[in-house]
Amino acid sequence: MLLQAWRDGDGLAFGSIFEQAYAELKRIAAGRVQQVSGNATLSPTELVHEALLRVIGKDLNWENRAHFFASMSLYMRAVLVDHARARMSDKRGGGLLHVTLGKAEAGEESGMAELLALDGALNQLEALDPRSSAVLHLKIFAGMDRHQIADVLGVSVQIVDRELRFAKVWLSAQLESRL
Amino acid sequence: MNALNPDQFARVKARFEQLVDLGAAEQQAALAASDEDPLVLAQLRALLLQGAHATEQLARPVLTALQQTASASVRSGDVLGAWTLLDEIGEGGMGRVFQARRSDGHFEQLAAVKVLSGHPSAQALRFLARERQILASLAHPHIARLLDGGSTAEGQPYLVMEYVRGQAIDAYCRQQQPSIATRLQLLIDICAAVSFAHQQLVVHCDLKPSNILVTAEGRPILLDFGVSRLLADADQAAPSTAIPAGQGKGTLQAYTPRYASPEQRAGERVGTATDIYSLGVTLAELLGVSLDESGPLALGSLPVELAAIIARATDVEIERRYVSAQALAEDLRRYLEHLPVLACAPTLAYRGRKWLRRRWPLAAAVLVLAVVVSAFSWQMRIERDNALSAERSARALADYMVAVFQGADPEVSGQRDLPVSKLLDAGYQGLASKLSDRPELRAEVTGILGSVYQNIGQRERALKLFDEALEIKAAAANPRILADLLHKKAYTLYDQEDFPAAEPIARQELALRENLNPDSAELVESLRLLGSVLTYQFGGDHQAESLALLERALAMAEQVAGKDSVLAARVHLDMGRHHGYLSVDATPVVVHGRTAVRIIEERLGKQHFLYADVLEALVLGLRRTGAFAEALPLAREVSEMRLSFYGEVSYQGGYGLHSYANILNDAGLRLEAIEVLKRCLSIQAQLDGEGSLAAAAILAVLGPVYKNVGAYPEAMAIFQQVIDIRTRLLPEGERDLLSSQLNMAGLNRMLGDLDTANALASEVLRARSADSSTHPFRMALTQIELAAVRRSQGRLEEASTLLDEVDPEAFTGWLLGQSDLDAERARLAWAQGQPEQAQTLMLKAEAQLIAGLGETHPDVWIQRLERAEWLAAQGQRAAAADLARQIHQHAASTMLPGGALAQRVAALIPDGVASAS
Repeated sequence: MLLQAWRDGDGLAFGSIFEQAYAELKRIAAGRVQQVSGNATLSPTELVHEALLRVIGKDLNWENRAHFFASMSLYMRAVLVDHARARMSDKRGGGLLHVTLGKAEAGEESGMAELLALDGALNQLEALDPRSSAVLHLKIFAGMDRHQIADVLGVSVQIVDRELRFAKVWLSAQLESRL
Repeated sequence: MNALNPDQFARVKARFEQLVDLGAAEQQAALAASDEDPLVLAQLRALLLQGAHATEQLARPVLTALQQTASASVRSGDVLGAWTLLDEIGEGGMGRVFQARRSDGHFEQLAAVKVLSGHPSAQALRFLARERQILASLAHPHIARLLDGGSTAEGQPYLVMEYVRGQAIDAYCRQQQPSIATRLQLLIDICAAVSFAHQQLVVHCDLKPSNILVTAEGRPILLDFGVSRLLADADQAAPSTAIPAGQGKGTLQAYTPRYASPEQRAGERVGTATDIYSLGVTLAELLGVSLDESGPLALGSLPVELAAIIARATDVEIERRYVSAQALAEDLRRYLEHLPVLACAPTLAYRGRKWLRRRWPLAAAVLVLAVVVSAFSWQMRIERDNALSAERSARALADYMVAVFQGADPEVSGQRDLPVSKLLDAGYQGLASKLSDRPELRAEVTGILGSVYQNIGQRERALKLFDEALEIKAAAANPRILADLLHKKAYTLYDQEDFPAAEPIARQELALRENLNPDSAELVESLRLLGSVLTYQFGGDHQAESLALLERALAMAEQVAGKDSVLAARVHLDMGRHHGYLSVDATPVVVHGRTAVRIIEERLGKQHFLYADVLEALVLGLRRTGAFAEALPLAREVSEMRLSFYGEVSYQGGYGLHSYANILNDAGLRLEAIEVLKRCLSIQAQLDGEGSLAAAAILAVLGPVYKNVGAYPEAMAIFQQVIDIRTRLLPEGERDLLSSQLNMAGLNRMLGDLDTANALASEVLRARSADSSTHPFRMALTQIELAAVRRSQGRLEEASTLLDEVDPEAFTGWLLGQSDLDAERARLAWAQGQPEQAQTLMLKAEAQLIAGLGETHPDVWIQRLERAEWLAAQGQRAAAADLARQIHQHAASTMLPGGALAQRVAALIPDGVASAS
């Protein structure tokens, strides 16, 4: 499968660039948060694009760039999920009474839980319908538009639209049933 | 939902794509017609009904996670501005702390870098940057400097602080085991640092042992100054706009529950009092008190002064805490120097104990008293004010005062002891400008300011303010505010002893409150006030109405606040005063007095100002029942408390002395009473000027005292003053001049001006006979005096008739009086040439006096003077001299040296008074 292939192979060659891009991405993310102040229009799309552009420049040809986005987004997803798992287990298993009472910690915890739920639902969908899951992943984690997704997956834009519509409905139902 | 197999899933997906673009009705029809697997159908139906989340919504957790990952990115080796992070040396709720080295190559410097967690908004960051400037200027030998600050590339704010090599103060105390004095000195230094910061308007908000390091040289250094407050304010300045919905509010407010004040834990606005609280808890911990998360500190094992200091610093009520860190430090220093600490009740015994340990010059003691007074009086006055006004108004005053205070000249507000009067004047001046657009609040605050003036003894000023407030239309139109203001005004008039003026106002506000607050504590207050005013209103049916009002007040107080409530105790106090002033039988005074004393001692403790008030009522009762031995020390205690709480020049201090003088008089310690009364008069003159009604009340005691010690001309002048003052200030018919006139008749008689004496006594008798409300006791005293005058004039028949007319029941229930009657009968018998009968009657009078006052009372000995003179007249000079010597010995406390009595005694002792002693 396509996504699996990225995980196993292509991604390795870009390992160090991933690291750099990821660091750049976090920096941009934090900076953007301050400027936009939590505005709902802020999406990972521009973040990922901007981060990659900063690291690899504009020289990369389009096809490579699209694949690179896809790989990058998988890498980012894995890192974020690992981080969230670590934070969640810290919170539960730490046992230490935190000296400070802060409201943010509860908020942070629910943010982590939401990410893990999203990842879990995407994984479940992948098991039943890899293409649909991949379309939604590229939309959410790589911030790609329908044409880019169509290019990366080698399918028509119509298929991307159909898959995306189904995946969003499916995932929404999954996530709501978890509440 | 997850039970679909791949085949079922494929069919769900295929059918979904067929149906999704159809209308709802067509979808339903298609589903109904389908013979599909029920599981597939159910799933399909759910998906068709399910609206899809927007992409942004689905992606939101990704964004959130990105931010949070970004914030955890700082690590050892990173460079922040000029600083390279070394080892991580701590982690707290606010963030992580690294040791850092200055890395710009200029010079070597170590620092502690605190990287704060969370992502404040751009606005909050700008606020932080500005506040950092203020904190950076906080240069004090006991405060770790804030050196620098900024935000990381990821936008996380960080603070760079002076790196202190030291040990947390609690660990230091455990390991080094310093003496108590050293521990206190450490805390005093920290108090100085805190006080310094407070003067720069910076609050710490997270004081605790782990924030206080002690260096190798033993110097305590305070860390993290203003950091948590700065963060809290930053949070307020930019209400969490930075954080996306669902993530909560930023991790900015930071404090440690064990050391946090109640108001901080309640999430209320915090101020300098919060730091004082934390200092108190820290002090307790350094002295070995174990901190239980819940419940009050267990201070039992500490010296009582230190326990009191901690209790004061950690009082739940902000107003009761030390007013400043400086004040806390000063009390600790006072303890170290064996001076009385302000947190302790300044009782005579306590201060005496300290006095003995100290042996300082007298000047120091006077200074201590002055400081005690200034620190206590403000608190006490505010407290008293609060008791009189609604809590809400007190808050309004507080807010307003803060506004005024902040607007004041920084040089003034930075002053360590701002005089109360200056603060009040500033407040008064600020009224019009600050509250001009809020007339109701202005009226209330004007009223409260008036109460404060009332409580610091400036009654004229208070009345002026009440009148000003009452002129504000909006206030007069609001029955609650109107009633409140009228109550205050009536109270001040009552306090000024202008009962005729107080009465109609008290009636008006009572009527208002009957409607506004039936069965409430407010109504109890109104009933109390009118009842008390009427207690002292002269003549008419006031006595019965007063008692009825107070009885209703007591029933209502017990109903709304409970039988043993402070409110009920206050009414008991009023009733004690009522009976003390008006009732023949003093037993109810003692009963109400004891009840009030018990309740107040239980509920408020002996240190509360109200304790002195109720004790005073009990003293009044004891005095009237002749229990001088029990009353005298209590009276002294009352007087001492009054002076300590309110200051020498205060009404309360004056009253305390006044009642002490009364009891000294009753106990026959009149030379002492004279001194005390003179002090009273001087206080009164400083408060209200010469010749006030309150001064007349003091003079009305001083006159008889002078009379009783044999200082007749002085006594005469005093009574004349009383008459002059009352004539000038009270309308006719509402003044009681008759007692003074009767006393003057007696004085004239003893000075030999029998015509004047006769005229005065006759006039008093006429007036009293004409008034049906005259008490039989007073009537009898008048008849006896006139009889004495007539006897002196040689009109013995008339004198005899007058004495026969005395109501035999007149003295029932009174200690004295009957002996006066018998003594006068004895004198008449002597004048009639019946020495034996005179002797018998005089011994009877003596016996009655002994029954009332006890064997050793000086007045019993004075009573014997006449008998001694008769012995001398009968030629028994030796026996007379012997008796006179004993009188001299036992009644010295009530004879002015060189006065008429002393001369009479000396005349009986041939070889002079000297041989008598």
